[in-house]
Formats: sequence, structure tokens, C-alpha cells
Amino acid sequence: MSHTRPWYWPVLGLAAFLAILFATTAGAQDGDGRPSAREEQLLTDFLILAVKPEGDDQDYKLVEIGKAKLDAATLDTVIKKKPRDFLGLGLGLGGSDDERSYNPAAEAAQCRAACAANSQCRSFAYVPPNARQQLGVCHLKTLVDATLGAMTPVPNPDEKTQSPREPDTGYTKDPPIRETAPIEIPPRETQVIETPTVETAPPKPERPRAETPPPPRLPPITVEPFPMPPRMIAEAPPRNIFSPTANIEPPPPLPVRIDEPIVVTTSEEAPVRPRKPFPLWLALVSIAFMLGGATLYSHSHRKRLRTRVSTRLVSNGLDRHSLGVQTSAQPDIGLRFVVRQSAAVGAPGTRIDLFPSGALA
Amino acid sequence: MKAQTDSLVQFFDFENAAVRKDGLSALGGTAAMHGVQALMTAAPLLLQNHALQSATEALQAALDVRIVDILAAAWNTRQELRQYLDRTKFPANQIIDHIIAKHDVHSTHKPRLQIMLDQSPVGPEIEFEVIVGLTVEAAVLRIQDARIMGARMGKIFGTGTIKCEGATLFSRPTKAVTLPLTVSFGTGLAIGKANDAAIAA
Repeated sequence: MSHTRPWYWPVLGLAAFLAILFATTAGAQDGDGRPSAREEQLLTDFLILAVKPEGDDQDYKLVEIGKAKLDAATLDTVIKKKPRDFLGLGLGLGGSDDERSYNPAAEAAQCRAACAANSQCRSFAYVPPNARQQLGVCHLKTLVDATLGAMTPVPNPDEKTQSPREPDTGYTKDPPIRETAPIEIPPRETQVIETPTVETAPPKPERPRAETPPPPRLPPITVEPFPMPPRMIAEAPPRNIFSPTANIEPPPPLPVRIDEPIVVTTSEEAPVRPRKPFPLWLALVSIAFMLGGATLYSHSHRKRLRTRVSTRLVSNGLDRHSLGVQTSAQPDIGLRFVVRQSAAVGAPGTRIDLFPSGALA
Repeated sequence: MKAQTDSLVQFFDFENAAVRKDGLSALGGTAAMHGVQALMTAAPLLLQNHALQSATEALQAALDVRIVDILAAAWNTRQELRQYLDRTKFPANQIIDHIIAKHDVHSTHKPRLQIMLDQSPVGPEIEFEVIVGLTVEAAVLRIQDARIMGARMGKIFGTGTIKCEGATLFSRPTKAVTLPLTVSFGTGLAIGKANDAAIAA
């Protein structure tokens, strides 16, 4: 450890920081989702609703039957004192007053919805109908102000003798109600669904499974040997087919003659249209058109290219024109004519004088 | 009247494709054209070949000199014609036919060309030397008011060469020159003025 790398401690510190941050966040999330034990102790009923069926088995209406916590016997008494039609009993659902099918999950959902709709509600408890209680009861619970005194939560028949959380504070906000008789509720008929938060979904009741039919009886397994063809008994020694003298029979002729064309016929015979040949004149015209275009382009290109080169005539040289007339060695025999009159040759008065010039002069 | 307007282009048979091709090949062998082509190495081959063609065309423009003008200019150099400048002796209304016997006319001029690429000169100027020799059997010059008004000519034979840097590009053997017998100079050429423009009618 004496030679630690330079990134060792920063990385270790960063990992520790991330671990602490993760643990803090996880703890905060756990605290938000579920009430603490202290909060559970301060929860008490502030509204008790009876789940009243209406019309159909799946339609319910919550009817208020109390605004404070009640024990089971008192609650039973309150329910019995209510008119039967008020609570939805005796409406002829199935013809029997007492026998009524109920859906605990749907009634619990109604209870959860009632809690969610009430801003005072922090938790709820749903007690399904049983032998003594003909209606499902929904307990909406809220927190009791600790400064004024904690209220005792609604005693659950199951939790009455088992709940270790039930504090004995000696006083309660609600008026004391005595239990008239001990409640005997079979544990299998009492189903208390108590969820700490509204978002928690109650477990769905398991449907009764159909009994699996017994497997069919099969005949006993018997083993029978597979019938094999009888082996041929060799009557002569095997022939050597590799020897050149072996008498090998020629292969049978092919069933199909190769020299004949094989005609494949299809079920869907499409009409074969004779392809019209490309007209020769059109091909020639196309070629001539292309060649003409190429020639025109080439000519234009060369013409444009040639305009880049030009030759300027600086001087035609006539300003330094040298001229010379060299006469021959012969003497000049030229004559000078002087015309005195007009050129009317036929005139009688015409006279032409000849004056010699040059060497003859 | 076409023969009267014949120039050195027809004299050297410049419009003949074979003669022109020989002249082009000879011009391509000169040092001047080698230098020009060396400067145009980066240019396309078409431009390099066109430089020769363009120089030949420019030379053709330089040869646009009428033969009769050469003859008139040569005759105008004769000292014997200066006597007609005396108006007292030769009044203005007097028409004089001056006869010149057989004589040779020598003409030399040096046109210069400059090859341009994209309006920029390429290489030095190229100088040509055009030498023309004419042999005139006889000529009668009509002179009036100290001006050569026209001429009547006999047979004319001509030869000539076009050179560039000493190399002969075009050569014409001695042969007859087709010219009209009578040539008119319009208002006439003033005697004694070598560069007076002559207008052929």
C-alpha cells in the first residue's frame, strides 16, 4: 500500500460518496411510501362507511354509518338498527335477503377510492361481510393530533387479542362504547384488508381451482418385436464387379428421351405476345441524332477554344516598303504623243504630232 | 476586273491548301514558333496547333497588297516622271503617255505578327520578309496634271518568296502574272509622292 496509484484515493472517495448518496435516497423513498410505526399508532377511524350494493352485484354505494371508531359489537348494532333498504338489503337480489354475493376486491376498491377522494384520509381498512356483519364496512382513518391525545384505533376482531401495537392510553376522543357480547368471528370468514397507502393494491382472491380429472387408464405396455423380412440365403459366391471380365448388366434405358425437347407446361398459360423488333430506321435516326449532337458540341467547343488564341498583325511592313525599278540595258525608245485636237479620228481637221523621246530624241 | 484586284495572296497562291500546309509546316520549324509553343505547353494541344493556323491567317492579312499598287508605287519612284511636275511645260489639260520599256520591279516588305493567348502576348513578335520580283515587258503610263491616271501593261512575269528567320515559307516560281492590260488609278497617283494612296476604279 505504500505505492498507491494517484487515482486510487479520489476514486475511492467518489465511490463512497455515491454509496452514501444512494443509501440516503433509498431510505428517503422507503419513508415516503409507507407510514412509520409512530404514524400507525396515531391512526384512528374518522369515518365508517357501509358498502351498499345497488342494482347489480358489481355496483356499490358507500353509506355513512359512523364518524368515529366503533368496536365490532357496536358496529354490528349500528348496522342492524339501520333500515334494511337503507343498507341495500332485502332488495330482492336473488330473492333472498340474507344471502348476497359480494366481491371483496371490488368493495375494497370502493373503500380505497373513498379514501383517495377524502383529503383527511391517511389509511383505510375494509372488513368484508361475515356471519355477524351482513355488510362490508370501510374504515377511513386519519392521524390524531398527538398534542391533544392519541385515539385508540379501531379494534380489529382479529387484532384485538393479538395486536401488540394497541396502546393503552387511558383516554380517547370518542365516547366509550361497551362491548355487549364477545365477538366470535371465524378467522377464515374475516378478511381485513388494510393497506398503509392508497397506492397499495390488495391481493386478489384466488379463484377456486377446478379439480383435475383423473388420468385415463391406459392398457398395459407390451413389447413386441418389429417384424423383419427373412434373410436371403446365399446360393452362389459373390461376383467380383471390379474385375474387367465381370459380366455387368447394362443399366436400363432412361425413361425420358434426351433428344426430344422437354416441354414444361404450367397451369396458368400466359399469352405470349410476339415481340416487335425495334425499327431500324428509328435506330439509325437515333444514332444520327446522337452523332449530330456530339459533332455540334465538339465543333462549338473547338470554336470557343480557338477564340482564346489570336494573332495580332503588328505591322504589314508597307511602312518600310522597299521598291525598286531596274530597267534593262536597252535604250529607251518610248515616244511622247501630244494630241492637239479631240480624239475624233474621223474628223478632217485632226492632226497628230509625234515628238520623239528617249534615245531617239 | 477581278485580276486588277489580285493581291499577293493570289500571287503566292496562298489559298491553295497544299501550299498553305507546306507553309505551315515550315513555319512550325522556326525558332520563333518553337518558343511560342514552349510557352503554350500548359495549354491544350488544340490551342498549340491553332497558334500556327492563326499566324498563317495573320500573314494572309499582311499579304493583302495589290500587285498593281506595287507596280504603281515602283513606277512612281522613277526620276524621269518628275519632269511632268512642270505645269508650264505640261499643262494640266495635257495627257501624256509615258512609255516604260522592259523593266524589273523589286518589292520587299516585312510584316510583323504577335501571337496572343487570352488577349496576352505569347513570345516575341514574328517578322516575315515578303520579296516580290516582277518583270514587266512594257508599260504605258497615262499622265495628266502631274498624276498617273492609268497604265497599259504588257506581259508580266513574277516570282517571290516569304521568309521567316531565314527559312523560306512560301515560294513562287517565275511565271506569268495575270493582270489586265489597262489599269486605271481613278483620280490618279501624284507623281513624287511615294505613299500616295491609289484607288483603283
